[in-house]
Amino acid sequence: MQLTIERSALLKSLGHIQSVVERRNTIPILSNVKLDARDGALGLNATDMDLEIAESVGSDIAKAGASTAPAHTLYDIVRKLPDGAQVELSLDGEGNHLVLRSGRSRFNLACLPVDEFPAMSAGSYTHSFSVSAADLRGMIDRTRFAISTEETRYYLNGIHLHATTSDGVPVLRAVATDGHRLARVEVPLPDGAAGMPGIIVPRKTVAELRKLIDETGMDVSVSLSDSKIRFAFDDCVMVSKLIDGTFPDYERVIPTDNDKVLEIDAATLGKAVDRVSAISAEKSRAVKMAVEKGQVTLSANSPDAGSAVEEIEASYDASPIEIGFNSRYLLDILGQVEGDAVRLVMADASAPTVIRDVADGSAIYVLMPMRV
Amino acid sequence: MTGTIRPLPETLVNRIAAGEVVERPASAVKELVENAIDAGASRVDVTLSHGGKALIAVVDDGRGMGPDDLALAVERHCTSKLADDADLTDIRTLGFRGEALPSIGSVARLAITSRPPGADQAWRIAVEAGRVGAVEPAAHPPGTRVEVRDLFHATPARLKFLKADRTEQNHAADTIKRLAMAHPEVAFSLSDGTRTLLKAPALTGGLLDDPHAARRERLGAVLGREFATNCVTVDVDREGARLTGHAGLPTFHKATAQDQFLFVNGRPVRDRLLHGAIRGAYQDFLARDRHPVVALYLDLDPAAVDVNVHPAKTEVRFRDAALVRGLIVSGIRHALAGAGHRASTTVAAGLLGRARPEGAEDHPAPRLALGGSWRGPARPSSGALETARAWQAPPAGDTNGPGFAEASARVPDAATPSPEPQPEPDPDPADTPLGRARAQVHTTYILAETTDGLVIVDQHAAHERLVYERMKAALADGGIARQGLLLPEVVELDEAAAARLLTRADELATLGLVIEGFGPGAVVVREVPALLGQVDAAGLVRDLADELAEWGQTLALKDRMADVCGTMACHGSVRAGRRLNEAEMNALLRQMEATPHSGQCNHGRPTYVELRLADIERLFGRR
Amino acid sequence: MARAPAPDAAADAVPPPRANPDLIGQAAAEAEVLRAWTGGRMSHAWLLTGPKGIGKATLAYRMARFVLSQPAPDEAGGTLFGAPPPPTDLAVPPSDPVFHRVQAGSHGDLRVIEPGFSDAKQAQRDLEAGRAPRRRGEIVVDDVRGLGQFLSLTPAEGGWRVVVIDAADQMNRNAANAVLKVLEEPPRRAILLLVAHNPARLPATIPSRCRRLPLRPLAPADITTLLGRLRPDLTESDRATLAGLARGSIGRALTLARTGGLEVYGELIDLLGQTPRMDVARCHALGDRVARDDDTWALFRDLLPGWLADMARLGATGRPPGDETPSGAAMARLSRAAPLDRWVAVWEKTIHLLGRTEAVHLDRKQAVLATLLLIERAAGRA
Repeated sequence: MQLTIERSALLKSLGHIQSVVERRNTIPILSNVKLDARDGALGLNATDMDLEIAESVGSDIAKAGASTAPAHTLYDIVRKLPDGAQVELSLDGEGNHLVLRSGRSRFNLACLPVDEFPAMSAGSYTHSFSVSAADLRGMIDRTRFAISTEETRYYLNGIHLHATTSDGVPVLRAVATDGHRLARVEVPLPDGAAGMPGIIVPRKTVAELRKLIDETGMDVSVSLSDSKIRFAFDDCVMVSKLIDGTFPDYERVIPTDNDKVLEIDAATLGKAVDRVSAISAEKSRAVKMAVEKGQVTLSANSPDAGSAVEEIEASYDASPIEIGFNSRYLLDILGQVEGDAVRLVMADASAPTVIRDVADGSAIYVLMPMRV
Repeated sequence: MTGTIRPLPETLVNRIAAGEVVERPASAVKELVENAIDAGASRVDVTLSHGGKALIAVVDDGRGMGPDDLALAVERHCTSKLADDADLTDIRTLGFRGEALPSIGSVARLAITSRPPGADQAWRIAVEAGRVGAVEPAAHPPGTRVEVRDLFHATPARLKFLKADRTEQNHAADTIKRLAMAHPEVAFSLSDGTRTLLKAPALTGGLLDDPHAARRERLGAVLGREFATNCVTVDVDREGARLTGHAGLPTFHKATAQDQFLFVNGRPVRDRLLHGAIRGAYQDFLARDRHPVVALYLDLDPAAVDVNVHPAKTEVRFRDAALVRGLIVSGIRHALAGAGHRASTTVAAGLLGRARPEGAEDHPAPRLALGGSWRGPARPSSGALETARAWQAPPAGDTNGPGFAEASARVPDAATPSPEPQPEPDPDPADTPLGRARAQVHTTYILAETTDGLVIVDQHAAHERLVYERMKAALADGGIARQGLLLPEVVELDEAAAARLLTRADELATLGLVIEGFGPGAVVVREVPALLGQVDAAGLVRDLADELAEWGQTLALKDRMADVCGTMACHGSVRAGRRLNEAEMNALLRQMEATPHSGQCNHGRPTYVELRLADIERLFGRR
Repeated sequence: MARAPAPDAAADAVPPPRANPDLIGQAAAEAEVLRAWTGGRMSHAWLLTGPKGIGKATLAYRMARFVLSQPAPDEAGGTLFGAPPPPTDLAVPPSDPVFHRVQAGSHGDLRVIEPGFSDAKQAQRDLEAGRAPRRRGEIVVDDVRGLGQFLSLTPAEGGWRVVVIDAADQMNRNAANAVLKVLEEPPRRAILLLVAHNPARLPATIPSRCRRLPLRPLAPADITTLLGRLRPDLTESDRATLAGLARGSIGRALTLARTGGLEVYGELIDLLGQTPRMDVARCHALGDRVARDDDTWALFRDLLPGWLADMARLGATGRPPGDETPSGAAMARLSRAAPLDRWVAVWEKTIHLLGRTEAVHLDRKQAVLATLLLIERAAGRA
């Protein structure tokens, strides 16, 4: 292997991939990045054995070949090289060391054989489609807050992606729930996604994916099977394991016959909830909503600090209702509303409430009340 | 084969066996002292030299032994010979420990001199590394003297195995302490030949009429006076089991559980169940790595307990373990609740010791605190404490209670020192145990003046405790917020466990966990305590089911909530460094008086210390 | 096979189980696994039992490599060319990428649970310096953490997921409970391989959820073969002696070779050969040597009763020794020197005395001398 590459290009790619390499690893090869030079490009590849990020950077390949070298060390070195420098990578005679030369610097890094490097990308994908970065970002952002962190019900530790129909229109749907609240977002079904298996994308993959989306404005091509998902960006590919489980039948818990409809200014409600709940430092801050014709009275009290009350105008015509919510859950949902108004559709103080952005029909949130 | 390889000595078997009975000087001491107590001694004096390796001498004034008994006592397996025709008392006396003297004799130079009361002379027998000498006449007052010299001299390997003299001596002293605590009617002394290490006079006459006082006296002699002044009396009985003894105040704590002494029917035991119960009882008051000091005596029908599970480890097994655990937890808690907000004096005493000026050594170290004018009525859980509660406590039914800030907010200005509407508009500091706030120093401590002294309060620790107690009270009042589950969780259990849980469904609901039956052998969780956030409901339910099966109580849920409360109380409390006005400070003091357990924060540190006027005067050499 | 011994001169020659392509003498167990696999009755949990050092972990890794090389169950048989031929053994060649990744610990579908490092920071330094870090004596719940997550994700390479627990009887209670949860609700396409030297130490609920795969001690010939491969520096007669002493455990044979067991054994046999006139000075020398360090003492406690038992057995079966070694000669002579019941009594007493000495810290040298004397007296009285 022997190649020359521009420092900034190498740095950018290493920057992407080194974040998945765990700093402390008892298995040496897992600290390494795989380097594969061929066909005018240097392929870089890093993994934590659950997901893998691969990048390809155009470079001047003098001699094809592959090796692995410590990811963080390599990244640190390249980061400290002067801007605009050319970097030359090669292997020493026995292939035991990666030699990095740039200007008058020279580094020797211990290598490990390529065939010890974990193989993630093997396997075939049954479905492929393309989705815009904006759509993908929207699906992630509006659902990820509801992903469960509790590990016993592991099948809730991710976003459930599947193809279905909504009012007769085929859609690609993302759903997440932690058992207390649920978020469901859909976009028109992209070509090629019809008939795809329902999958669950793990929380960590979601976080890494979100970082990569920010750096691209292009469409993302998604390939998946029932055991793997692959996201391809411009020069970057991420492959991840999936959660091996069945997502619960969430449709069952989205109520359809709630009849108490409250419409209210989302920002006003959000600020009021935030203020009222400030009275308590408790993790389980409850905020009570007393809803009557034209008005919502928010209240909270704490054995410690006292109580708080705030009244807000709202549009409401049904019979009065009192209902309590975990204020953090409520704020999480209100934070996703981009339009002016939010609609809360309730049944009673112990049944799930449906929340929607009045201006955006693609997302629906369900929140279970808190009983005080 | 020449003579240099000598045949295995005849006594090897004895020596090996001795290794099990006598593994270190302390075990020899234990056997010998128990023998003395069995012999009806009213005083037992023990002398150790070089940690007992060179000499163990145990002298008692008990029944003594005649020449025949003496010879028999050092004979192995004599108990079986006696079995048919001997009087039962003797069998009991020699019974279980029949092996002890011969075992000791096989690994040491053993000499026993004894004279039964009424006999006109004493007799002596010596055993040297297993060889039994003849019984000879000797001079000795009534009673028995057993001397064990050069323990393990015949087995150098075991000798090497012993620890430093000091360590061995501590082990032996610990053994004697335990025995002394179990037998207040017997006088004990321990000496290392030059110094008296332990002296516990026999408690007779009036003291013995009040067993608690006698015991406290004895515990003071054995564990130190500090314990005697910093403990509460435990005395509860239930279903024929009685628990008595003394439990240290939570502020009087140690780094190890070493000073937890337990006696079952007079026998010192170390048992996981019992120690676990003690932990449970102190759970709210101590940090996890601190341990209370207790001496507890459990008396129950001998048939209800098996003490011979493992003689060496002194474990016991109870027929009704849940009863015993409950007895210990409730006994200690009840006693501690009675102590109200009393904090340990040791903290103040230690502090004062440091404050003492040079040359003040001849003044006795001032003894602090517990004797305030308010202390009398406040200590029993009724009395002043109840009164205080009555006018300080939130109105019944208001689960949220007036918070500290809220309470202080109602005080228009500092001229009205007490924040609450109350019978006496301007209370005399004499009536308020913690006095009137005078100043805040270093924005961390409150100084308050009482009728006869000065109280220093750690505002963060105090407030933290108040918040914690209030949270617990709120929990207890059923005011627990519950988060409904969008996806109700079905938990599979065995049928009996599910049924058991469902019979407690109401109780669990008050704690925030709502469950319903879901066919035989399963329950469905509908709501969980909001406090717990995202919780593994199935795991929680299974833990609760296990506990119900084992203890008949649902501790797991309360424990977890208490954990969360503790953390939240710590973070949600007034930080050190916040400036308080006088009204706020007084409000805090009044609430502390009204709140049980306010003498220490959740981590077991004291929330306040008291300096009495007399002590302050001593500091300045005025007294 | 033997736990990777302490890193010393002999260690290089002995590959750790995860890197060992050789398994000798466990054909029966291997065949049982293969039958289960080809018959579609692969159990989701196997408990590999047997004495230390006979190849349990080596077999576990062999099974792991095999399983990880198989296509996913729903893909197998579905190819254009019909079902692939059924496998005939579990071997995966060392050149196979799966072998490399299993050896390096980097196979995305294999999770190994073993005692963690006793000091994480020191371990990191050791690893960087290429030393083997110290491990704790037991598997604690931290070591098991992550197992749930591993099994909750789909396989990385598309087929199966394998967990090796080495050794399961090192798990403490909490760790065992965590593993039990997995065994109670086994995930699909996942296989757990539990290695246990002493399955009785496991909570009963674990074996009851596993298929037991007992491994037998190795035949002496297998041990000799393996010694030839792993310790070519030893002479042929040393290897034969070790094979005789190994009781079917190559691990034990290697340990004996490493800790000077052969010399102690040779000296012991020499002395026994002298009965009823043992050289007193040499008896003392042996006593001193045995008493000096724990390894040698453990060796003696193990060797002598074993030898006596063999000798008593010889007397009982009356089979001619047919063994030209000094040991065989000494056995033959002693077994004739006294009646069988007396040797059985000597054997019992020896075990008792050595056990007691260990239990209550009696003088080791005394114990050595006493046992030798016991034997001499028994032989002399004939």
